[in-house]
Amino acid sequence: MENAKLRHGLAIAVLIVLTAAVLAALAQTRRAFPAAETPAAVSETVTETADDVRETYSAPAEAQTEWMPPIEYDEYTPSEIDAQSFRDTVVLGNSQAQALQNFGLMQNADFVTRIGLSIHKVLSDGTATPPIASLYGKQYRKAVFVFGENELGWPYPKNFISHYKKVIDKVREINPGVAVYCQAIFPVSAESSAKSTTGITNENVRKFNAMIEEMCGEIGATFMPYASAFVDPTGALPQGAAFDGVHFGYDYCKIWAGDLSAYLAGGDDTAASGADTATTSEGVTEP
Amino acid sequence: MRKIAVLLSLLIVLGFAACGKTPAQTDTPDMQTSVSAAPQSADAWLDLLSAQLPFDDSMTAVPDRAAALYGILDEDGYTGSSALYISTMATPEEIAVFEIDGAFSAEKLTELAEARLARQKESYASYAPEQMPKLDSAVIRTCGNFVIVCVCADNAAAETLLASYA
Repeated sequence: MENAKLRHGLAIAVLIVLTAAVLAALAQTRRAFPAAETPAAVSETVTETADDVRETYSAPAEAQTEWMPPIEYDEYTPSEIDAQSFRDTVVLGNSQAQALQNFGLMQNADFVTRIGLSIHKVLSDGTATPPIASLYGKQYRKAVFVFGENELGWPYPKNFISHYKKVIDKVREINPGVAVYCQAIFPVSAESSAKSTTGITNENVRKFNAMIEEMCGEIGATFMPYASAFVDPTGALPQGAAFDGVHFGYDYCKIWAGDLSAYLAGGDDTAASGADTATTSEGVTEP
Repeated sequence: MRKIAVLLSLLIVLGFAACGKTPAQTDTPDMQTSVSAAPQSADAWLDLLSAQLPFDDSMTAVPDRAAALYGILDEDGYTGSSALYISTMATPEEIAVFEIDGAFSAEKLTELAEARLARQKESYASYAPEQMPKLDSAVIRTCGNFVIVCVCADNAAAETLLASYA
């Protein structure tokens, strides 16, 4: 009888201990959630969510089938940035160009950039000092244009080119002899392209770039295609190049600045001789 | 015997409870007590703030760019130290730290910071309106010999952190 009572008592004890262990384990699990309220944990949570989305995302079939040339983007060797190549250079453009400025990657260059700047706002933006006003008072030998990302959703792409030509004409008028460089629009990430409701898609990037390249041929400007580091085999911006799929971080801006440096250094002879300076937007070369 | 077993079990349960931490005692760093003294340089401030505050954007510490970004020209003669932590431009997030220096008093630097934030608001209002709350709640604080600007994913946390040094 005494043994039966002892066994009964021990059984209850074991049950209580097991219950306590389970409760302790549950409490340990719950502790992970309040931690998310701390600043560091919030940041981690956001990052994890974005990574999850990227990992589960598959590029649309059209992007995978449309892109023809094989691209070995991971074998790209960045060019060195030569600050001398940016002397007498002005960069006009949008937030991507402003990142180059803010990161200090183009020493010696002047910048006329604004967040969200579109090409039709360069000559007139409803203020007394539109962006173009910044070009008066100094002569530049090279002008780099970074436009298109904000205009990809325009319903009439030809208007983009029309405005682009007018801006280039004005810059040439202010800076006789300036060499003009037009940066190709960079692709966006596959995820951004698929989700965009405003036309910022890689299909439009390709369409607009073809028009910019054609325009450059017509008006004697230099079209600068993006380096292979900026595109993956599907035609999209590689994962990790831009946290939001559009705006580059420092590392990619540095690659870009190296490419610009190489282009502009190569163009020094052209700029010095004014080889393309007398070419108008109508494609007529003047003596 | 049965009473002894129950008592023993209760003791064990209490032991488990004592070992566990409450949510308030988790591994979360206490921002106000983990730092004993205010940083003494712009770079040290930047190190502290970039480590403690949350950011949505991919951020980069860029040397020698803070003054230019805030409208201080070379010819203005500003010789104080400064530091900058800047976004990709997808968001207006940034930290800027300026040492008070000669004509660049706390008031003057605060004025420049307000002008910078006004320019940013003008840009982001149409470009990324969802980012405007970050600019509307941006923090400008004078801490010792430094004027500090914080635009991050949790400006309330920035306010709390800086208030502990003000």
